[in-house]
Amino acid sequence: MARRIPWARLSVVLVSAVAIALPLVIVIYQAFLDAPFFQPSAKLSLSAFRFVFADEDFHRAVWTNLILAFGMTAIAVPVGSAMAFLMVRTDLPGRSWLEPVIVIPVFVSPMVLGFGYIVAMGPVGFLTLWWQQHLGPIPWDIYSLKSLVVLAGLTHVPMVYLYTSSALRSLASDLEEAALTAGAGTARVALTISLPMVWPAILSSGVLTLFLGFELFGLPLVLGDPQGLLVLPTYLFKLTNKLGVPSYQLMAVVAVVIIAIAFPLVWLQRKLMGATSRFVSVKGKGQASRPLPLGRWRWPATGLMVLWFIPTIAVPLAGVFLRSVVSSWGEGVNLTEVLTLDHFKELFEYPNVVRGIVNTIVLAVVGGGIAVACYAAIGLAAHRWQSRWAKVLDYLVMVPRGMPGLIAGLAFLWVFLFVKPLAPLRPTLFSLWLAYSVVWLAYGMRMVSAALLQVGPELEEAAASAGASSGRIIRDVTLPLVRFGLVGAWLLIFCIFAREYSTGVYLLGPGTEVIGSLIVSLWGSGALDVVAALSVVNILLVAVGMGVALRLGVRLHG
Amino acid sequence: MARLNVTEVHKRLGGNQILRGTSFTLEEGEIVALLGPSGSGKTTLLRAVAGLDHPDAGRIVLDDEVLYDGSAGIVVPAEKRSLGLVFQSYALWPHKTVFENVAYGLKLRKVPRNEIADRVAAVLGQIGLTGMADRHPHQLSGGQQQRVALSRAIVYNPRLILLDEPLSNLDAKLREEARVWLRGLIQQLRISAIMVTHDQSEALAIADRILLLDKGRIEQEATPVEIYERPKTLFAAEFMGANNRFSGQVAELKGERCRVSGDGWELWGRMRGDRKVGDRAEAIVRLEKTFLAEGPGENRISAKLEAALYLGERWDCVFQASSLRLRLWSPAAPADRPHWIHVPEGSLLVF
Ligand SMILES: Nc1ncnc2c1ncn2[C@@H]1O[C@H](COP(=O)(O)OP(=O)(O)O)[C@@H](O)[C@H]1O
Ligand SMILES: [Mg+2]
Repeated sequence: MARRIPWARLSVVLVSAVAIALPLVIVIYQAFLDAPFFQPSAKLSLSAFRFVFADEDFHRAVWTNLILAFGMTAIAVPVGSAMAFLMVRTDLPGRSWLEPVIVIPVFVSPMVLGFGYIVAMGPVGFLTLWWQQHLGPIPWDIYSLKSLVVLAGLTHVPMVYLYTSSALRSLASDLEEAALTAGAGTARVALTISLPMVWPAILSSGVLTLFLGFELFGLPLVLGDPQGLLVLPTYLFKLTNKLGVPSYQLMAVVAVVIIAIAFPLVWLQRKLMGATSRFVSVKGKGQASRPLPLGRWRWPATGLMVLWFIPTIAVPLAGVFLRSVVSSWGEGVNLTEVLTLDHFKELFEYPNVVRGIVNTIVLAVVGGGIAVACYAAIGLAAHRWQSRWAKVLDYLVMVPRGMPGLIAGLAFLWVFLFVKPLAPLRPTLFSLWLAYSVVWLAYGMRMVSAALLQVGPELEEAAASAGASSGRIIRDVTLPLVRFGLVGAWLLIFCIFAREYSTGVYLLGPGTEVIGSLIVSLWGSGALDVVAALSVVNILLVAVGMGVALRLGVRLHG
Repeated sequence: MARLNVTEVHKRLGGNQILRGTSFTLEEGEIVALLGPSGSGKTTLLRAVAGLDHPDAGRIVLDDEVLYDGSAGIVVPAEKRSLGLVFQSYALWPHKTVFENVAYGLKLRKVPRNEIADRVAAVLGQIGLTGMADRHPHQLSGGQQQRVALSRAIVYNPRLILLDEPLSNLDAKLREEARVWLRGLIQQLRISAIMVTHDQSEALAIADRILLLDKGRIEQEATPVEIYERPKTLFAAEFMGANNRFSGQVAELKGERCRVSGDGWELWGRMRGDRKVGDRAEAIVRLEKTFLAEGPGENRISAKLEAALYLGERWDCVFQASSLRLRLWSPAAPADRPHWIHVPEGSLLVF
C-alpha cells in the first residue's frame, strides 16, 4: 500500500485559503480600479491612489494615527509589563480576583468605553460636573488628541499584560530567587532579571499594540470626531459621506494602506513570539513559583493598579450604567430624582434593535460555536501533519490579523456583492458569521492550537497501533481530550463575537443588525438614550460569557 | 522462517543518522530485547516496526507481509499492522476507564459487545486487575497503570507485541517483581515480543535473545548468557555488567590465550578481538570475577586499599595498584594492609 493523499486535510487548506484570500484580493483589486467594481465602466487605474494621496485630510489622518499608535504603545507597554510582573511574580494583595478585572477592556467594545468616557468626562459628563462643583475647573479635555492617546494607551494595557504575564508565568522562580539571595531587592529583580528574560514577549506585545493602533476605530470615532480628529479607519469611514457617492475605490485604497502597515507588523510580531518561546524555554527547574515579597512597595504597587483601574474601567463603565438609568442630568439635577428604566423599555420599541439583540445572541452562541468547530477543523487538519501544507496553513491563519474588522466587513460586503452565487446570503447572518469568523481566526486558532498541543502524541499513537484510522483517532482520543479547551474557546469567542462592533458596520442592514454595529449607527444619529441602554445590554451579555468562563476555570491568558 | 525480518533499516532524524542499516530477526514465540545506551536508537527502531515512524530505507516483513519496503515504496500504516504497543509512559487515555482503554482495540475490530466484556474481563483477571475496570487511569498506581497498558496491547491478540522500556517507570522493588511476572506472562500467551530497554539486568532477565544496539547499529546479537560471558566487542563487554578496565599492550599470544602488560603489571587473558603482539589492547574483567587473594601468584596484582563502601550484602572496594585503579566486591571489609588481587585468566577479556 502506498502513501495516501490526505484529501480531508487538503480540502480544509483549500477552503480556509479561499475564505481568507478572497476578501483580501477583492480589496486590492478594487483599489486599482477607477470606479466601483460593479460598474461596467470600471477600468484598471491608479487614480484612486492619486486622489487619496493628494487629500489633505488623509495626510492629517496618517499623522494623527502615527502619534496615536506610538503614543498608546509608549503608555501600554510599561504599564502593562509592570502590572504583569506585579500580578504574576509578587505578593500583591488581591491578585486572584484582579486578573478578570484587568482583562475587562479586551471584552468591552471600544465604542461602549468611548461612550462611557463622554458621558462621564465630557463637557457635561457626570464626573466633570462633580469635579467642577467640588474641585474647580477640570484639568482634561476629553476631545483632545492627548486624551485619545492616553485612553487608548490605558485600554490597551491588558494586551501587553496578557502576553507578558503568560511569558512570566513560564519563567522558573529559582532564577529570581538566585538574584534575591545575591542581595537584589524585588524592584531590582524585576528590572534586571524577570523583565529582561521576557523581553521578546514585551517587545512582541508592543508591536501588537502598535498595529492595533492602526486598527483603532471606536475610540477615535467617539472621542476624535467632534474636533475633526481623524485616524485612518475613521477617515475610511467618513469617506462615504465626503463624496456623497459610494467611492469604493477610495475606501479600498485606504484599506490597502492600513493593510500595508499592519502586515509587516503582524509578521514582526509573529517572529518575536517565536523568539519568546525560545527564550522562555531556557528556564531553570520548573517548580511552583513562589511570589516575591513586595515589602514597602506593597502600597505603591497597589496604587498603580488602582490608578489604572479607575480611569480605564471604573469611570467609563459607571458612566454608561448611570447614563442608562437617568432621564436627564446636568448642573443642579439631583440624580436620585431622575432615575428611570425607560431607556431599556424604549429598546423594545425599535424592531431593528430587538432584532439586533437577538441576532447578537444567536451569532455569539451558535455562530461562535460553529466558528470554534471550524477553527478546530483547521487545527486538526494541521495536527501532526508532516507536510509543507501544514506550514502554509500556519501562515494562512495569521493573514486575517492584518485585516482590521472594519476593513474585513467592507471586504466581505464586496465579496457578497461580487460573487453572484453568494449574493442571496448577504442580508443573512451568514455574511456576518463568515466575516466575524475570519476576522477572529488567528485569535481562535491560538486557543485551539494551545489545546491541541496539550495532547501527548503517544496517546494518539497508542490508538493507531490498536488499529484506529486517523479519523477514529480524532474522534476517540484527540477530540475528547481537547473538549474542555474547545468549550473554553467557545466561551471566549462568544464574548468576542458579542462585543464585536467594527466588522458589522458595513454589513449592517435589515436582518443583519447586531448590537455592536447598531451602537455605531445610533451614535451617529445621536440617539444617546438607546445607545446607553444598548451598551448596558452588551456589557451584561459579555459579562455572562465571562462569568461562565471563569466559573469553568477557562484560562484567559494564552 | 522468522516471524519478523528487519533488514538494513536506515533513519535520519533532524539531520542525525539515527539508524544505520539495522537488521535483525524475531522467531515465533521469542522475546527479544533491544538493549543499548540512551540515545542509541532503540525507540526509533521500535517505532519503525510499529509503523509510527517510517524509515528512510530498508525492509520490514512480518509473516510474509511486507510492512515497509523503502525501494518498493510500500508503507503499511500503523493501524493496519495489528501489533500491540506498550509505551514507556503507558499512554493510557485519561478520559477512558480501564475497561474502555482495554476494550478499544476490540471495539475497532467490531467484536460483539458481550464478547468484548468477556475478553476484557479475562485479560484483566489474568493480569491481576480484577475489580479495577471502572477506574480511570489517574486512580491507579504506577504498577497498575503499567498492567493496564499491557492488557490494552494484548487483548486483541496482536501478531507481535512491542514494549518500550515497559518497567522503567516503576520503582526499584516493583521492577524486579515485574520482570518475573512479565516474562511469565509473555510466555504464557505464546506471543512474540520485542522489548526495548537500557537496563541490562532487565534484558538479561526477560529476553530469550538480546540485540545490543550502539549508535544505530547492532553490536551483538546473542542469548543473555552468551552476551554476558562472551561479548564480541569492547562496547558489548563494557556495556554489560560492572567492570575493571586495563589499558595495556599485547605482550604474547598463544592461540586464544594472551598476555597483556602495562606499567608495573601483566595478566593472562583471552583474546576476543584481533590484536597482534605489540598492539595496544583493552582488558576487561567483571567486578564479580575480580577476587582478593592471600598472596602473590600468576595473574595477581599487588594493590593498596583506597576506599571501601558498605553496601549491605557486600563491600564495594577500590584499590590502587601502581598505575591501575581496581574495584571489587568483597563479602567482608578488607583489612588495612597490602593486598593481592586475583584476576582468573578465563575471565579477562582482551580487545
Ligand atoms: N524527532 C527527532 N528529531 C531529531 N532527533 C531525534 C528525534 N527523535 C529522536 N532523536 C534522536 O535520535 C536518537 C535516538 O533516539 P531514540 O531512538 O529515542 O533513543 P533510545 O530510545 O535508544 O534512547 C537520540 O539521539 C535522539 O536525540
Ligand atoms: Mg527510548
